[in-house]
Amino acid sequence: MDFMTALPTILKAMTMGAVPILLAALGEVFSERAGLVNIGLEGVMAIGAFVGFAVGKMTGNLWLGLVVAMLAGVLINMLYAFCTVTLCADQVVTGMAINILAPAIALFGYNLFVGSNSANATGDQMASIAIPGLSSIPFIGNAFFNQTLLAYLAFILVPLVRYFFKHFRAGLSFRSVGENPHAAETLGIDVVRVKYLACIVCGALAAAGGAFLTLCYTPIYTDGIVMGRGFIALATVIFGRWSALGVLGASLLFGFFDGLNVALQAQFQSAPVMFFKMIPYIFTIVALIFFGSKHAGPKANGQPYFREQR
Amino acid sequence: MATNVTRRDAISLGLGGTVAACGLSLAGCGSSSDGSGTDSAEKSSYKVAMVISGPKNDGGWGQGHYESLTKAIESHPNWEMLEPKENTASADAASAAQSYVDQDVDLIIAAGNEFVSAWGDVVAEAADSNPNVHFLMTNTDPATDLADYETLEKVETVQVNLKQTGALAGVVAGLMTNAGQIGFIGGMRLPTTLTKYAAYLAAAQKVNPQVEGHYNFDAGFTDASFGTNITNQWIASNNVDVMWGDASAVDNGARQALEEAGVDTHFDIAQPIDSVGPDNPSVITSTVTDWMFGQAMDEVEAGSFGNGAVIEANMDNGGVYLGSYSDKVSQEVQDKIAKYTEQIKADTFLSDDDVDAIKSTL
Repeated sequence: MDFMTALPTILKAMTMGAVPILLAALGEVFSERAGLVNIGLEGVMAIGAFVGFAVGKMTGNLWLGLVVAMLAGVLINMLYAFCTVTLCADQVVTGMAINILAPAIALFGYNLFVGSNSANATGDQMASIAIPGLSSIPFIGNAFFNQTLLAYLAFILVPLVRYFFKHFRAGLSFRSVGENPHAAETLGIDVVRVKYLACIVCGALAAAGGAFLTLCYTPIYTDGIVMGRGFIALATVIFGRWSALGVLGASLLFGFFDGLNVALQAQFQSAPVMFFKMIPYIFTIVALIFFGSKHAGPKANGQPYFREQR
Repeated sequence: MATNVTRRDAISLGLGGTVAACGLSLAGCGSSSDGSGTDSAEKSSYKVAMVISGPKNDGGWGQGHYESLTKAIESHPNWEMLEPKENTASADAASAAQSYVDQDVDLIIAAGNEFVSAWGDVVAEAADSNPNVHFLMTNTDPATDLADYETLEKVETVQVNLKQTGALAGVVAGLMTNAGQIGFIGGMRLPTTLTKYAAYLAAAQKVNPQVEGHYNFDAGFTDASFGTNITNQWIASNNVDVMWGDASAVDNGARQALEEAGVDTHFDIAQPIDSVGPDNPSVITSTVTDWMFGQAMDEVEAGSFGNGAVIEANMDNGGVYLGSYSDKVSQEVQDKIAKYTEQIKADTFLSDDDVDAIKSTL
């Protein structure tokens, strides 16, 4: 394989593959910063992928599709919020329930939407916007500066999220709730409110990540389209040390290995491709081994918050 | 040690369970069957039903079967089609078939050989309890796939002439490629997939000896983005300009890449339904499969269906053919394709050795 010839395509696959993971992972950062480990990202992304596809197709307005998808993501994630924040149910079990329920709802909706009208099976797609000059830079230009507007927004979100957690009082409230909710409560922070807000943001961003798959990547919805990206997003949050910049780096790294996997499959076609397919996931496992320390991350992460507990 | 279960615990436990149960049951509810279960003793009317692993309008495998059945129903007015069971997982395949057996459906179709192993017991029990029920399994080789079956008395299979299908696609690819580089994506490394590709490449090289083939047989059937990425990679690194796919949703992704590369220079050959149209600007023609369900219905009516017989869908009986052309295919090329098509139909275009020679390298 001529690596330099394949590199621009690998980088393009990297950025395209990184965006849905990045969006979902940024949502998870909000959730985990507030002490909620939401492993239901996969399900929320599935809902976002379907609703974005269907509303975009019905209305012809892809941005409306995105907005409604985000609202649907918030709605489904409110189920998680109610169970884990109000009822203090186990976060992992609830997240798994979301992962079972949400794709099933999406598939149910798809069957109703497409029905016997196969014309609805193919949706519309956002056009790429090439930034003059920058998109012509060799190797990286097409990958980074010839993207859909949603992809640009996802990357712009990274410094905004970082700034929010570092410099906004609300960001500090999120962090304190994730570290020690009882101490935060004594300081006058409404812990339950913060946790619900985190779930709203998480649901919206994860659904936007799912919607990216059907609005920007390929114009179809299929059952299983998320393909484990929700779980990869969870891993990137840990690998990225619960920071927006770290999550960006981890998402791009995963996207790169995924692009490399495809390039190797394309060029070494007689080799056992399963070996290449393992590459991004081996990377994920290795990353978790080195960065998944129990002592890292918000201290109260994953623990139910009982206001009356002392 | 005693455990106190609070009201909050009970509510959350119940809610979590309900959520999971809803999730497990909802997926199959989109288009459940509403068959009445009635049957006439004189057999003046018949019922047919189908079980599909994906949606019936996926633009690929499921839709090909659904359209074949719809076409057969149109020519058999005494047959009623029950709503197909879509998105059926392997674990649900037996219960899906059993529900149709319980309704005494005359012909139950498995769209693909993925259900074959799960249906063994259903077929055996139905032979005693519901002797009017017949089973038809597509893409199934009875010698290998049905080896464990207790009885084949009420079972038949359909197989496509893969050499013809591949050769038709290969002729089009060989004539339409400008770079001499053609690609193929298969969902799984099945013997049938390898035969299709071998015939495709052999035919393309027959009409254009400079052609080189690029393939991936493990793309799966759902990840459209993989189809986009690998096609982009082939276009960038190998200048591939014609694709043929056998991987349902992944093929849609490949089309996406071809469209981005330019629909005037990069082409897709679709299958198994005619997909030429404005929604698929890169598609220049399609290799279409008719699963010959009408023939099976005729056999059920005549009482000659069963005993593990194989129905072959081929060019002679209209089971395999090329669909319509887009305006990218010139009349001159269409005329050449027509000439080669006659040779493929007469089995004088490719020998089995030509196909086997390529297959042995895969």
